[in-house]
Amino acid sequence: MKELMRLIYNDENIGKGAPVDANKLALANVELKSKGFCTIPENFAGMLKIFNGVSSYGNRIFGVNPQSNFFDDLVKYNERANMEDKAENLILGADEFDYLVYNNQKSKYQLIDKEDYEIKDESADLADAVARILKI
Amino acid sequence: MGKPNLNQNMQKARIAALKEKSNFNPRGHLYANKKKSQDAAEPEVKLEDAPEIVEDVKAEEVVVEKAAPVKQETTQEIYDSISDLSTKYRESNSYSDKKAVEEYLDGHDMEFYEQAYVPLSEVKQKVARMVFSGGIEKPLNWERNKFSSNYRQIANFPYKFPPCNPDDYDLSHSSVWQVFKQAPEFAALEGTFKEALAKRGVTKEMLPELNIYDFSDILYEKCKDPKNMTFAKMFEGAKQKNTKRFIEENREEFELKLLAIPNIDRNYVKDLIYNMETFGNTDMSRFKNPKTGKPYENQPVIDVHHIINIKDAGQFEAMGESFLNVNNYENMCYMERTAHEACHLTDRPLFVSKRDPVTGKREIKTIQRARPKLGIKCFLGFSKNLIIEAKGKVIDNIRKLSNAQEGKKEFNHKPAMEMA
Repeated sequence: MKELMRLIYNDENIGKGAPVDANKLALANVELKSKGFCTIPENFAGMLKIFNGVSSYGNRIFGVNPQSNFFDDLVKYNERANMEDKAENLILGADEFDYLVYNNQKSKYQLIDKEDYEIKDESADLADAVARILKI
Repeated sequence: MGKPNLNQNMQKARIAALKEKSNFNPRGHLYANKKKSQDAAEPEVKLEDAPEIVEDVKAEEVVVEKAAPVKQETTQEIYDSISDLSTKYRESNSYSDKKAVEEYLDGHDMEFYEQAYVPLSEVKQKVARMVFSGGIEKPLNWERNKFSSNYRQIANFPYKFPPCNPDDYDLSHSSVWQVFKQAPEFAALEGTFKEALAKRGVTKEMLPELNIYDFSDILYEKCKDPKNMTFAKMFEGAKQKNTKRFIEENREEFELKLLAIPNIDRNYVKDLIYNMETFGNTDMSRFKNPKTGKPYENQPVIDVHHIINIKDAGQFEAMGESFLNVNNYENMCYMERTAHEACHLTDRPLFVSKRDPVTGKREIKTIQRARPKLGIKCFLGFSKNLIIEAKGKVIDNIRKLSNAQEGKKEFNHKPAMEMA
């Protein structure tokens, strides 16, 4: 994960949101829970404390109440997407074709086709999954 | 200021009618003026030349005074309406709800369509995505499980396989290469493919068995960059190339339309055009507002939209064309993000079979989609003033696609249901 953070930090072509504070994260989790979603996984929350939203060539990792509209808000996006099995799946990012989803039943990160929800790949490693979505 | 008298009201109404007849466009006035000066054949309408307009105005006066003020929908309201209507249709599948979606989209410069799904092989889908992004993605866990049995040995124990000679390979023995080479970008890299195979220790006898996941891994290992973790850039992708062409051909109009948007930041427009021209990139998240030193806020985000989705690229093959045409310039539309997402709200595959419990995969029978009306090249918002039309040959090509979707003669496919 450190390597990913270093790569993002050093890459001038990547847009990075300012870090989110713990209060905002806690509020987002309360909101997610109240709407029937699972909460933000811990290591992803750790990433948001460094970069609250990341975007590269339109491939995006969402943030929590980000300061700019160039970064999507994770809670709003999940509400809008209204994905199947939302209690299990939380969308954390997206590229042109796939969602990056955290499956809390399996404790895994999945790349899922945006349209038919076919699982393309799965990893316990957040760094790999984030890098795949961002194409870095 | 007192209440305006009748003469003033009449004068205002006349001017409004004249403006209407001369295509006056208050939000897009910069563009409207430019268009007028370019089109010398269109005479300017004058009040004294148009007595019938004055009559029309008189006749409509009472109606004008009685009419309730029309509230313009915001982009978010339009998004919500499309969301509500498409959800309703999804739940009911009724004709009346379908009609409601169609009519609403039609009134907002979009169109809704349904068509039989023409499947495209996984190899072709992957290659089309690679051409769009300009590189190779490293296979992660599930995709690594799909390696062919011989190549899995190499991937797991690379030290056991010494490098081979690149000149030994005849790529025509690989069915995957046959797909890759259809893209000129990959065809030009034949030497790189051979070097990658040799470096990884793939013997020439293994070549026919290699699948797309093996190739992805082999190419990734050869082309990976220490600056990246899972993506190896190999060439300028169609996304970048098409964006550069779009801005080259439409720069002035694009700039004027953006500047007509309320609260637009001129610096943002300047930076966006620079980003598109120089890098073929519409993503502005890394740019900072020179006035605040912070990222721009509340400025329109521009996305690149495939008019025909990569998943539907089988349609091109059904027309006797290459599936790679899905990445052609004429199949791209530049869209403001909320409008883009609204466009995808109606996307729905209708399935033949139930979900596979392991892969989650289902066979698709029919697809439902929305898109900007054909001929629209750029959709900056739900207003005629924020639309740029495609030019020349681009329109012809898009019409051809449209005919294909409507099942006209050049489109000869069998619905997935029949094939199942």
